[in-house]
Parts: sequence; structure tokens; C-alpha cells
Amino acid sequence: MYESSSRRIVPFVLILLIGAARAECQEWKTKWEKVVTDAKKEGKVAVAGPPGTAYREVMRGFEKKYPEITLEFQSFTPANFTARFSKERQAGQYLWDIYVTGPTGFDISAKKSGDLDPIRPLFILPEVLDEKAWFGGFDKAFLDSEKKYIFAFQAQITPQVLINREFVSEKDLNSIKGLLDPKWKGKIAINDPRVDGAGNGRIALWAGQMGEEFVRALLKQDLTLTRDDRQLADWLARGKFPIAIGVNDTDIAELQKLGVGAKVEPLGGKLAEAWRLSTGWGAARFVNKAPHVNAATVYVNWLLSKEGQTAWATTVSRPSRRIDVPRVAGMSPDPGIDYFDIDREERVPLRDKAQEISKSVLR
Amino acid sequence: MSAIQPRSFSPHSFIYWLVLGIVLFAVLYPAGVIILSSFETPGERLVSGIGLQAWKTAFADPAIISAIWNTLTITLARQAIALPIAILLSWVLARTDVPGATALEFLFWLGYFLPPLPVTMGWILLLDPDYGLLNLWLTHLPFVDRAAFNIYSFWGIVWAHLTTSTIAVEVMLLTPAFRNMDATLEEASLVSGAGVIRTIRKIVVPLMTPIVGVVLLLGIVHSLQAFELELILGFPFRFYVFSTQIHWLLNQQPPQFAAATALGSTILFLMVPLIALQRRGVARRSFATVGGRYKGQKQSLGKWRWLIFVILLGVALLITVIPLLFLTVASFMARFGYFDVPKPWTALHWSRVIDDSVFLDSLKNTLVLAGATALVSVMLFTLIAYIVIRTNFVGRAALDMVSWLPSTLPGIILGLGLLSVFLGTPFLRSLYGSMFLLIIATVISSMTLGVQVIKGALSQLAVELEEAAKVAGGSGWNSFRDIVLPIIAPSMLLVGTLSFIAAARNVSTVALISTSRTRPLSLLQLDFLVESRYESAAVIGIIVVILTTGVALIARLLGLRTGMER
Repeated sequence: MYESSSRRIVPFVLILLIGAARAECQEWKTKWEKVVTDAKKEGKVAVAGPPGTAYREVMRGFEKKYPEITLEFQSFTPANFTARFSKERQAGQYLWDIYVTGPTGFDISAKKSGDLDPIRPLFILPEVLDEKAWFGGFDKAFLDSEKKYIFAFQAQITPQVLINREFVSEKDLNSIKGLLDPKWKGKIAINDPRVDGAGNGRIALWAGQMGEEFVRALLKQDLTLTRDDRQLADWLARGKFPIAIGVNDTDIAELQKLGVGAKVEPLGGKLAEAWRLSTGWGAARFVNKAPHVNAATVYVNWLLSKEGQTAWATTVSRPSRRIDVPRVAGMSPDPGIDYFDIDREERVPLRDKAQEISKSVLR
Repeated sequence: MSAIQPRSFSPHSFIYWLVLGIVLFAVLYPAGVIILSSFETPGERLVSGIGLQAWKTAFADPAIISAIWNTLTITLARQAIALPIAILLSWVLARTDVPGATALEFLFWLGYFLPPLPVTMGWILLLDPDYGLLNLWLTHLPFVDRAAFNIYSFWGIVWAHLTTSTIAVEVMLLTPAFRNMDATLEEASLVSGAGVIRTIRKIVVPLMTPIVGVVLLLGIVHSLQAFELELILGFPFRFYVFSTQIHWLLNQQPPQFAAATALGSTILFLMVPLIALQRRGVARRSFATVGGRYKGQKQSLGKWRWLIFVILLGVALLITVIPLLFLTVASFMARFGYFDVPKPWTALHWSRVIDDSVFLDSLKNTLVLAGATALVSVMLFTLIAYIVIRTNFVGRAALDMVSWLPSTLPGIILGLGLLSVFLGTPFLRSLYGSMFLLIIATVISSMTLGVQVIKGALSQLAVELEEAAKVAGGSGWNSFRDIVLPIIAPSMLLVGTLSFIAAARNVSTVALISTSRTRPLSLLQLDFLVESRYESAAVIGIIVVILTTGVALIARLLGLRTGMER
């Protein structure tokens, strides 16, 4: 009796589930088609993005896929965008739809002031919402505490310290803690940690993982400062400073392609304090009172799709947080390691603290 | 100096008032916005109140004291070296029979057109204490056992400034003025037994006071705002200047705009008394050197002619040819400075720039922006200078003072002010994002230099010439066209060229106002710089130099026709 009724229920449940799935499928498809139609009517999407030719080139893919929607993409440094955005808002001009850049102080202030709308509701395509498609899961890609405003689609591991083994042997220095040895005084260069950037991120990570005492002691090692990535890479490759903190690894990779700095390598092996997870310039936000909501929806869904992220990873040579797109050698995170992500909103106090310490020590 | 009297309520006075109105609006409005914004207190919605917090933040950093001191000392060192050299070089180029003067003068123009960053990279390559090529070569000498030069030092920064732009621009500005000097005065001095140096010191410099004063003031303003070289060369030995502090505030997260504008306004407040002093100094007497008995004859250098030519050529090579070589080499090297890699040479950077999808549009935008800026600047600045020097218009002092203000504000601070003006003015708001506003912004940025150069030329021109033309029945316009214009034409063409290059190179102001449709080459160059692709940035630098050289050559050909070789 029980068996016969279950035989009847199972197909019924299956039919219900398939029906629900089809309905859901039908639902997103209907929604997507309507958004695309409305986006084409809007005719354009205004995106502010990071400076650099490669970022601009990535966006060409969107124009090819949706030729009816004009992409007005403009590059900004964070300071320039913040200035322009605030002045425009003061004048009642709402000109931007999406802002793509790294995590900056803008995020906190814009979120508080209501200048950002949640980006999460814009995600429609199942491949974008797919939990398994993202490194660490979909939710982990949000940098803000509410998990709805700032979506980090780039996840790159970068070494905290690079060392030129032509000048410093492994026997002499093989750990981050070893940097405190007085013999390295005057031998270390760093990307200025007193301002937001690569140097500050690294100091913040150590402040969180190894404590303030370590950071203070390190900063007292007679560090040489620069704000020029290229200069830092050149110094390291030539051995002017054989140890460098906050070097842009792309710069080093380019030098190594030429045969320079062949013995430059990360310091500290696979230890947690030797690597950081970085968003780079790859995080998207939806600007409040956006003039082209539908086009913005189409744009972010394209950007976060497999196609968009493949374009990002291959053109910019920075790894996507999506795990179904080509990896970038030496930069894509290893799924087995729990990296310290300094870019999350809850870590902002740590970054501020790192700046404060750096300012007080590096006068 | 007597001035030409405008009739009340004449079309002339209407134009004067109109020009004053436009200049006051275009300069004082953004300057006022900037000063006011320095009193804003940042809050959740960007501004939450009024107070002195930004000023306290700006001056709370203990580094500010040393930054001010460093700024003063480096400004003093730059000007103390550059100005006497520039005066001497300009006098030789304009007032003597040194061979190849025209070509040599043009080399100095070319030196000014070169972008400073790749040139500085070149100097680093030669003068780095650890791997600098010149330092390494010198250590082969028996008496040299360590690096002879260190580019990362106070004098390294001074050297980089002198060789990148300071001397070149001062020679550019002074030479046309020297050309307008009456030769009889020098002849009298030389005949009476005073040597060349004494003649320059006692006759030439006093007569050239207005233009020398202007060049000095412009040099000071330029020094106060310079930060690119200080950032690259000063940071490694923690040498901060005023402008690097502004840069620092703008790079905080969130950017400290109010504090940065407080520091920016400080430069403005510091410069106003100096500008007033300079105005007062030149207003007391006449500096007219081109009158009815003007004699433009050049002094003979005699047996020293060729030696002086060689020295001049040496200086020109140092500040033009060597940097140009750096720039060209940089654009063709796989990575600038790495000569010992397997494949050091490549054309990749050129193809990367030329194949860039926005290159052609950016080039077109640069030509429109820089060309229009040059044209508008020449016309507007000539009008302003004429009103200030040649009329009794009640607002002429205000016009003169106000024309100085744009140069006293750092580019990005001026950009912020202009952004407020463009967005806050209904009739301009509708033009927001257009090329028109970019042109207005770059014209305002070039105003000080342009007005002062033409003012200098006009102040050398005796008013008797125009009065004679009027007595002979010529109208005001006729006397301007037939008497004034031919004499000041070289200065006008210089202003056109300077405005062209300033607009073509402008990043800080343009970056805040341009759109994807109006972006010029300078922003494409910024993209490459951000990516650390200095070689590709050097390619754009060369393209801008070629464009500007073309404009300069046309300007000089016109200038030669209109009296440069008087």
C-alpha cells in the first residue's frame, strides 16, 4: 500500500520540481529578455573604470555582443572619480551607471551617503548567480558587510615581499620574520604605505596577522619609499634594493621576460603571511539614480559572465574570481589555501591602522 | 607711460568691460569656490559644515614644515642658477651676431616641448649612484672610487629641473623681449668701456625688468607647483615639497580635497603680494625700448663669436639633444635602460600606441583642443594685455591681477574649481562633457603665461608710435594692425605655441572634465603611465613633440616674416 502510493508520489514530485525549474528558467529568461529589450531602448550605459589601456580593451567585448547599446567607458584614478562624482552630485547630475575599480575609501562614504544602490538585484543570469562558479562561493565575492553593494570579481594572490636571490641567498633570508634582522637595514624598499595602495595593503595584512609590534619594527628598518611601481621593480631587478615590499608583479614578470631579475622570487614560501588576496581594480558597484538601469543590468551580467570574465582574465592578465575561466599563472588563488583578504570592509580599520602606524614611524 | 584714452561708453569700453567680466567670471569664480571649499568640513555627504578642520589637517602633518623649507630652497636654487644663465643666453641669441642664433633658439623651444618624465628616467639611467652609466664610467678613472653623482639628492632634483624645462622656458620667454631692445643703449655702454657682463648687468637687465620680473615670478610659481620630479627623485630620500604634500592629501582614501585646496590656496595667498609688488615695481617708470628711433642692430662678438657659439651649442645639446635622445631611445627599447638584455630594441611600443583603438580619436581631440586653445589664447590674451598696458580702463589693474591667479593654483585644484563652475552655471551645464568646456579650461590654465608674455612685449613698445599713426589719420584698429601687431607678433606666436603644448600636455585639469568622446592624447598617455608602460608613454610624448614642433615651426616662420629678425 505504502509502496504503491510512493510510486505515485515520486513521479508527481518530479513533475512538480521539473515544472518549478522550468518556470524558474522561464522566469529569468523572460526577465532577461525584457531587460535587454529595455536596455536597447535606453541605448547606452555609462561606466567609470580603472585607468589603463587593457581595462578599456576588455570592454570592447560588451560592445561587440550588444552593438545596440553604446558603452561610454571612461578611465579614472580613484581620486579623480571621487572628485568628479561628488561635484556632479552636488549639481544634481546623475551621469554614471556602474563604477568598476578597486576597493577604496569611496565605497564606505558612498554607501553611507546613499550614493550606491545594491548591485545584487541586477544579477539575473544563472551563470552569474552560480554559487559554484566563484572562488569561495558567490557571497564571498561581496566586499561590503551587507553583501550587496561591492562585488569583487577579481581575486589575485600577490606575494607580500619579493626578493632578488642574486643578492640575498635563501640561507640568509627565508621568512617574513627574518626581515627584522638588523643586517637588512637600508636594503628594503617599499611602495609608500602611508597612502592607500600596495604598500599599505601589505602592512595592514601583517598588522592583522603578525601584530603591530612586528609592523613597527619592520618600518624602522630604514625603508626606502617610492610611489612609483616601475621604480620599485627596477630597483629590485637591478639589486639596488634586493628586498621589495608591494612590487607590482606584472612589472617583474615583464622584466623577467626580458631576462632581467630572473632570480626575483616571493619570500616566505606558502606561509599565510607571505601572500595576500587582492581585488586589484576588479570590483563593480551600481551607482544610485543611475540613468540607464536596464543597460547597467545587461552590462554587469555580461561583465560577470564566463565570457566577460574570460575577456578580463586574458586581456588584463589578472585572474578572475570565477573558477571556470582561464587561470593566470602565478596569480590565480589556490583553492586549498585560506588567504587573508585585506580588501573586505571589516578590514578597513586594519588598513587605517596600518596607515596610522606608517605615518607615525615613517616621517 | 601715457596710455590711450578710451572714450566713455564707446564700443571700446564695452569690449573692455566684457573682457573684464569674462575673466572675472572664469577665474575668480573657480578661485572663490576653491578657497571656500577649503573651509568645508568633510562629512557623510561629502560636506557637512564649515570650519577650519581642513586647514588644521593640511598643516598638522609635521612634514609640512620641512616641505615648505625644501620648496623655498629648491625654488631659490633653481631660479638663482637658471635666471642668470637664461638672461645671458637670451641676450647672446637676440642681441649678438652669434652664428646660427635662430636654430639655436629653436633648440631651446624644442627642449621645453619634451615631456619631463622620460627625460628624468634618462637622467636616472646616467646618474643613479648604484647603476648610473655615467657614474660607472667615471669609476674607471684612477681618482674616482665611488659614484660621482647622485640623482636622488637636492642637487639631483635641481639638475633635472634645469635640464628638463627651467632654462629652456626662460630662454623662450626672454629672447623675444631682448630682441625688442634698442641697440643704441648697449652701444653707448660698450663704447664707454663697460664690458659685456657689465653692460648686461647695468643696461640690459634694468631695461628688461618687467619681463625678467615676470619670468622670475612664473619660475617661482612653477617651482611651487612642480611635483613629478620631486616624487620620483625626492621620495627615496624623503625629500618632500609643498606640491608633494598636496599630492599626498589627494591620494588619501577618501581623498582629502578640502585640505588639498587649503594647501593650494596657500600658494595663491603667498603669490598675491609678490604679484602686487612686481606690478608696483614696473608701474613707476617706462620700459619702452621700441620707439621712433629704435635700432635693432646686433652687437658683434668679434673673435669670441665661434667660442660663444660652441658654448651655446653645448648648453642646447645638454637640455635638448640629450633629453631628446633619451626620449627616442626610450620609445624603441624593450625596457628603457636595459641595454644588456638579449633583445633590447623593439618597435612594439609604437605599434601598441598607434594600434590602440582610441589613438586616432585622441589625436584628433588633441589637435582640436590644442589648436583651439592656441587660437583663443592668442586673441584673448592679446586683448587683455592691450587693455592692461595701453588703456586707462578702470578695471585694468584688476584684470592684470586676476590673470595671474590661474597659475598660482595646482592643476587638479584648478580643475576642481572649474568643475564646480561648469556644473554650477546653468548655461555651461548644458555644455558639460563637450570639447568647448575643455578648451575654456585649458585657455584659463594658460592665461598667466600668455598675458604676461604679451604684456612684456607691449610694455616695450613706446606709445608714441601709435599716437603718431593716429595723428597721421589712422584709426585705433589701423594703428594696432599696422604698428603694434607686427612688433608683438613674435610674442603672440610664442604664446600660441606655449598654449598649444600646455593644452596638449594637460592632464590634471583635463582628466576631471573630459569624457570618452573628448579624451585627448594626454589621457591615453596617463593610461600607459598607470600601467608603468613608460616606453609607450614616451611614444605619445614624441607625437606631442612632433605636433608642437610643427606648430612652432609655422609660428616661427610667421614670426620671422613679421620681424623676429629685426
